[in-house]
Amino acid sequence: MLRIENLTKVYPTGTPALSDLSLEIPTGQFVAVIGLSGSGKSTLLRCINRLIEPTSGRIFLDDIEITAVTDLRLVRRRIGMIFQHFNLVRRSTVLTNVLSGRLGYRSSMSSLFRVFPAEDYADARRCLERVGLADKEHQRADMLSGGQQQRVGIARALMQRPEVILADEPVASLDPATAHSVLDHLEQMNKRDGMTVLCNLHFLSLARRYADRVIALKSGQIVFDGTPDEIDEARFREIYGEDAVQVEIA
Amino acid sequence: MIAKQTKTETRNAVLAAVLSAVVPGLGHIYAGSWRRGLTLTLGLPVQAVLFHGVDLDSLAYCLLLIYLWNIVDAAVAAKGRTASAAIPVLIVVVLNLAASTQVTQFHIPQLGPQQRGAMSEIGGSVAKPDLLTRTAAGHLTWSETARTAARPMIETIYLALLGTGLSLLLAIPLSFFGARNLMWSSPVLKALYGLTRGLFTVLRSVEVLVFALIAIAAVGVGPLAGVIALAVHGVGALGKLYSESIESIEHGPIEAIRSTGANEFQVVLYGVVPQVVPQFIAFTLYRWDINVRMATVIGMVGGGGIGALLFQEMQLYQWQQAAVAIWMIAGVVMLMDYASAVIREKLI
Repeated sequence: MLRIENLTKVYPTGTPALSDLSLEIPTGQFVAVIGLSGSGKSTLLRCINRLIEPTSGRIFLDDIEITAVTDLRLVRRRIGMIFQHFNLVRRSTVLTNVLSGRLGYRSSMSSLFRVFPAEDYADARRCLERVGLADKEHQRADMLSGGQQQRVGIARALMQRPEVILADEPVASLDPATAHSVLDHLEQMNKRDGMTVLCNLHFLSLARRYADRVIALKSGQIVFDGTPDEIDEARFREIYGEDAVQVEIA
Repeated sequence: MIAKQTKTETRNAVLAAVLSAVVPGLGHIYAGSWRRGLTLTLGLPVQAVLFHGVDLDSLAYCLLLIYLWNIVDAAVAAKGRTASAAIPVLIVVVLNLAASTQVTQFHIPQLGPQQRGAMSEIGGSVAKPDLLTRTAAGHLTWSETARTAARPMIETIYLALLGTGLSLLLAIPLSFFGARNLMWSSPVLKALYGLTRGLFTVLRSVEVLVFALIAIAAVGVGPLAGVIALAVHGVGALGKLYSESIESIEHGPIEAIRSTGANEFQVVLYGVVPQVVPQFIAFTLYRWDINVRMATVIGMVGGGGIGALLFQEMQLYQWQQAAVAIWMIAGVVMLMDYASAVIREKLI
């Protein structure tokens, strides 16, 4: 269970990103967050693992108050994150990128010598196998295609053995076919492993295809919360503005 | 409304021409072409003073051409158009080139038979360096000159290496203070950034030779002075390059590694270091390569290494011996150049 209470974020520049947002997400749900650019989607995700410090409000993962913990790594390692631009270390190998998903469990001392226990290597290979990149482990990350890089990003998140996945526009930089293969992995992690998925999406058609529940943000507030098929033409215009036209992604 | 708009966009062309006739560029400023106007207002007098200062008044009179162009151009600018400045710029360049040939008394030297003899002797000696010799038994072996030159040559390489190493030690910690992306969060840090970058610029812009002469005054003639000179200058050069590579790192991977639960130390090790280390290594190798070349010149003023030997032999007109040093330096520089290029290509 992920619970957000009265979350507000105002950036130092004075820009309000989230205002008094409350939300409850049961374990194992696949939630799509939609809304225009600047509606607060990315800020919401980044507040949950405190990459961004909320201005006020509280966030709970089960009974732990994320917004109050002092040792962030204990919380962060339970929450995997996937990014629009993959955010791999380009010059490092695929395997090193995947292994870095385990850093939250390992001491600074062992990291200093860049060694991980044998079980971490075995896990990393299993994660790569799962995303279909077993043969790429020694390649530099930037030698891979966009879709492959995003799958490395997924493997890195899997290495955390996470309970929650935060995906920030995971397919916005990918072509439609590749987008589906990436979202299929997220769906599998949700359905098979029971991970809670919170995924920012641009396309409503993708939200309809994958999500159990859709939350729409506008100016940092929830303007819709329900099942995908409840979004009709009127609701759509309310979320995206009067001039918006629905675009399908195959 | 429309009349008002045209009035703000174009001005009185005659007035602009008259203004620029009185003070060059003033008409442009009136017409709104600030940059061109100020260039003319300040540039024309400065240029005239430069020519007059080296007694080339005839060239100063040629600037009347620019003055006339300036009057016409002011009128054009007043009509809201910008004419090409290619021809006046070309005239200024040609006039200055003419001035430089006069000032340096440049001419193609006329060589008499004596000079020609000397030149061919030097040329011949350089082509036949005193590198190899025959022993009494008839075996080909390294000459005395080559054996003597080997040691200062190696000394030069090590001198450059230590100079590079010392500047690296100082430049790495300083470079983090000179990286804008790390220092932009508070006014104190911004000030530190400015100070660090300023220090780099000063150290970089003062020639190694100047530092060498200062170091020789302080610690005396010898390789130590050379090392100090290279190290001090190198802090500026390497620091700037290191800072720029830190500035160019991507923030995304750092955010991603932080989100896995890694602590700040692990974020630096896995997010920052892999991004900057290859560039640091490449820049350092490049600096070493430059320092080997610099070290030979430093040697000539007393900073140790093979430069001193070369200088000595040239003063004694021992061209065949000097040629050995010249070829050795060329060989080492070529090798290092090649090696550092190969390694840089692999890393970046």
